[in-house]
Amino acid sequence: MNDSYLRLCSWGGPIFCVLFLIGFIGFADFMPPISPANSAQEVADIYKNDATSIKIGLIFMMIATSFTMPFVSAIITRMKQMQNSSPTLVTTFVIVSAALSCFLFVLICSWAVSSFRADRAPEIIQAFNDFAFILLIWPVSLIPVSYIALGLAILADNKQQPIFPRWFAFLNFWFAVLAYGGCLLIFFHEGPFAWDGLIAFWIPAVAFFGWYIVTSVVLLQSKSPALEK
Amino acid sequence: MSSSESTVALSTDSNNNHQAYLPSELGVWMFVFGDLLIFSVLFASYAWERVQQHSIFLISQNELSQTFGVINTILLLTGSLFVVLALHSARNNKLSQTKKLLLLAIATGVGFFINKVFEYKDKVSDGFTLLTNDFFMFYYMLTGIHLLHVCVGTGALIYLYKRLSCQGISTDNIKHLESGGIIWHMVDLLWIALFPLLYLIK
Repeated sequence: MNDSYLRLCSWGGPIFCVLFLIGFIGFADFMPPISPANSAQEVADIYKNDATSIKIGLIFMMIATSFTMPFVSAIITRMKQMQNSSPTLVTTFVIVSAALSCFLFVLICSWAVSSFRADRAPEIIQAFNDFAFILLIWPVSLIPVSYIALGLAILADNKQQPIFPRWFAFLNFWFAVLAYGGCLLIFFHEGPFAWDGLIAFWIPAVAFFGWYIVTSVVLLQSKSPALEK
Repeated sequence: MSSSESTVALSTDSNNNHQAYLPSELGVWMFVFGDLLIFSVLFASYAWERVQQHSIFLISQNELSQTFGVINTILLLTGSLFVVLALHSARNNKLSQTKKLLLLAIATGVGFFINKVFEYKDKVSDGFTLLTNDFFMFYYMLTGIHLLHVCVGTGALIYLYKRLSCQGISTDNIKHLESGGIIWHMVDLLWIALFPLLYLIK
């Protein structure tokens, strides 16, 4: 089996992280995020004053998102090669990953709508900004499902030389726990559980991007069963 | 407790192997330490807010019922003991005793859950919710996240019970039982930190 495309796709994760973060931090200046405690006027002013750099940042993020798909495909290929791999787990992973890529596109679009006519009523800008940030963090209820599916598939792989190391399964479970921190963000406008808080944003953000990096390394080190002698 | 026990158990069945015995497997320990790390961050942010709003935290703390807290502490600690005893009987190849002890451990987990639900109901009917103030935000979030851990831990024990029922005792299943025990002890340990932080500290 030819692994060269899989290796190429394995770089999709780190490329996604770098491009997305250049857009998110470097241009749009969304780190720390626009506070949910801000008034509509304050939010509108941010979009009005930084219109160009936010738009450039959004383009970076939008292009970055496309790299998640080949990356996820590489993982799915490996999941299918695992001994005892359950089609149910693979399908779960596929559905969640596909949904996630869509969500990323939609939320970036929502920021784009906020910045597209920054001179309109502040409440409308705020509403789209709220929508984007909530959609950025709330799917944390969804992401863990893919981590858990991948983790369970790795544990089921009982070959002499498993495709992925077993510790990576438990790392996935841990990332799943970290991601749940944002579940209650709709209750809070400030504090650690609000969308700019330690538990809802900073920890899940580290887990989210960390997962792409670690998975990429694990993918690059993995071998197809057919190539093993 | 379980780790020292495991060391003893292994020194008998692998005399020629001087390598230190790790109960369960590396990944489980990684997960446990990762989880403890996250709870440390949670505890630290709780402590930070407590220093900032000392009087609000003290007044709100008095509204918590220590009875509920003590019952839950006893339940969890007994649960941990049952898991250790279950592992011990599994190592001695006593299947029915292992299963009985596991059932008891599962019962303590379920008991904890029920007790917690009553405690939450009590608090909500007294008018204290997630949004009352920062103390109650932390109270609901910390105990809620912990309760989730209890559910996962109880689920793991139920899975182990079913596995033992179907396959009997094997080296593989003892390994799994060790993992379940470690997870359960972690849940226990977290509560031991949570209980004084939320209910007792003055």
